[in-house]
Amino acid sequence: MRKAWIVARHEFLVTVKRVWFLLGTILPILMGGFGLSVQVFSVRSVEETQQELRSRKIGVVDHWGQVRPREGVRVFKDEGGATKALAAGEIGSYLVVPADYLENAKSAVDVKTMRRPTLLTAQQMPIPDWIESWLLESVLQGTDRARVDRAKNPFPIRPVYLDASGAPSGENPKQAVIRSFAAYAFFFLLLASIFTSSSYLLQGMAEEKEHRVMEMVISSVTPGELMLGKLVGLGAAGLLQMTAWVATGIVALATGVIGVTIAGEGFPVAPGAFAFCFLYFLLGYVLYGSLMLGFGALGTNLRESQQMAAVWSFLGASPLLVVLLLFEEPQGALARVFSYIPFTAPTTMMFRYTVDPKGTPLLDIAGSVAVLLLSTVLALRVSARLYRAGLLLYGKRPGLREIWRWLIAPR
Amino acid sequence: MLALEVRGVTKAYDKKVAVDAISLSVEPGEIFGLLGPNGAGKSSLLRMVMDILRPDAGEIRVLGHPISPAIKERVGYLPEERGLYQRQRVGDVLQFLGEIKGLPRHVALRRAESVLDRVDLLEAKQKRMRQLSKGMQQKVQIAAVLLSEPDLMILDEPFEGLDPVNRVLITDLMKERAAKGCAIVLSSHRMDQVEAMCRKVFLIDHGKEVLSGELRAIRERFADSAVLLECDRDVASRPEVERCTPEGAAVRLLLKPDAGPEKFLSSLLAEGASVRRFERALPSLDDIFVRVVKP
Repeated sequence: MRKAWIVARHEFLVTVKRVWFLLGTILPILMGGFGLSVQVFSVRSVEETQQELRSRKIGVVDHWGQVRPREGVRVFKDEGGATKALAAGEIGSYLVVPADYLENAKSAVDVKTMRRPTLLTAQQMPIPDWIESWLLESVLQGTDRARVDRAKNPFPIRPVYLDASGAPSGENPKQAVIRSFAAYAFFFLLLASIFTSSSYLLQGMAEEKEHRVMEMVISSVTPGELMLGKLVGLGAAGLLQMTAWVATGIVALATGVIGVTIAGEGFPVAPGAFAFCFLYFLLGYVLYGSLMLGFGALGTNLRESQQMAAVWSFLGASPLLVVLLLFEEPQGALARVFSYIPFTAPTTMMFRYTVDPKGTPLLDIAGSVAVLLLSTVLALRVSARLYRAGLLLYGKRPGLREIWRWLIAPR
Repeated sequence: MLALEVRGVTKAYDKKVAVDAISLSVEPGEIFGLLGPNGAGKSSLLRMVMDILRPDAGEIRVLGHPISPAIKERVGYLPEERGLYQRQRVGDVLQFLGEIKGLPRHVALRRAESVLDRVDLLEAKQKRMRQLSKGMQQKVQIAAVLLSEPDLMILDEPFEGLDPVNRVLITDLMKERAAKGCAIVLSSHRMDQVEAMCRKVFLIDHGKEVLSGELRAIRERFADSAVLLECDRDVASRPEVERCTPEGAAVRLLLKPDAGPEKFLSSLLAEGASVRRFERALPSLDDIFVRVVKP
């Protein structure tokens, strides 16, 4: 084990000291931060301009003739005058209320502005918020105040979710949405961290094979120690990278430095979900990492090793195909089946627990961990045999029969 | 206690027998030549000694014990298929290889500097492997073997890629280690190097032992077939001659087993050749190799 630790430390240090690792870790943070900041800045800039226009008086050309006078409204006899005032910046925009406004429910009010329509400006016109209720009051002139107020807000919703006994369950739909987003984020982080670390494994091993380093190394350590050391060292490098990204994201969201904040919203994701994510990362990583190493060792160069290891990537990402069903039915039959398949268990279980921590049965948690542990041990044993045989294979790719012989032969 | 003892070792891949009941022994301080053509089974045998492959039959004892992780730390191994981490610095690579040989980190670092100095590469310590020439990389690999000050060194083609100056440097280093009691198994195609360094040799072909023993005794055993000749005729293509190599003004002839030197000289003289020099010679290892190895 001491030598596995030496290999792990060596692999970790060699990887994290590489310029490309540092760039690969820092660049996404810088680019993400820059991109998000630019977007937030753009949105804010547009909003401020729209707000400034809204704060100006609004013009009205009233062909209907029943619009009620109001502070902040400037009435024009015709559109020519309104357009001049708009061009002079005296008003932010003007409305043209048609003559048949009341009689014809389909007739529209034109809102005229000199702002160019863009992705952001087209979302919301530069008109004050009170326009709708002001026009409603104009329509309902003569009606009592209470009816006017109710007509302005006829259907305010307060959802109350009941459990099976009929008592309020305390579920908050907003928090459920946040949990779903968190599960989605965890899902991708878990997949990305497993496959990032695994790709480091493949690259390292292919490089060692191409440069004929292996025989010299395995004259001092056993292939098992070498494999374990690589799994630990490169897994730690992948985890470090992922931690840097997640920590930066959390700090950015908590402080609002990028203009978006979760501070004050409350964080509805159970703390256990983080522990879960870590546990399933470890199990998933060792499972996929060992399989990728074992099968990757059969290739004669990086391209072949990647091809041989690619099948595991597809299996790992397969829950993506049913992600919507997992959102809607985290405790459904398919979710439960996926939880007991070793290749889909890490992502599926983590997803289920994050979305519905209370509803996830302990049996499924224990069962999936047990299945993963067993299959990880099996994968390690199978991969160690392939790894041992594949390490000394130079310039020749084995056939299926040969692979099978290695699996059953003593050494 | 023998440094290496191989008894009846056999290894087959599928139906092909790569190593067939080989037995040999190497004493401490001995430089032992392991010879054989390509594919003879040398690398398989050495991999079994290093426990990279397991023999199907037979027994291997290294430094008096069955091979184990602790014993492997006392063995330096330079495989035929070799290379080092190209993107890493020379000093870091050596330190890592020293650590996995069981050296504490600070000792590995110190020894790395010391062995680099011995192979005239101390200034390359901070360079990346890929910045070094093939010959320099080869010297770093040999330095890696020396790092743990092993009691047994197994060197497969250690002179490959080295210029004459560096060959002498490495030869001296090996002799120095042997003088300190380290046994060296030298597998090489360079017969001149083996001849210059080894007292005992072992020749393997098609997985089987072909020749083994003291080099001098082996050469004497084949002595009746080698002569040095200086004459006015081209004799290379004569039917009695198996191999002809120039040696100064003369030629060294390896005669076929049924062509005795006296008979050969008589026939030359009978043909009217003017013979200036004719003497019996000990055959070179090259000659013997050509004689005994079946194509």
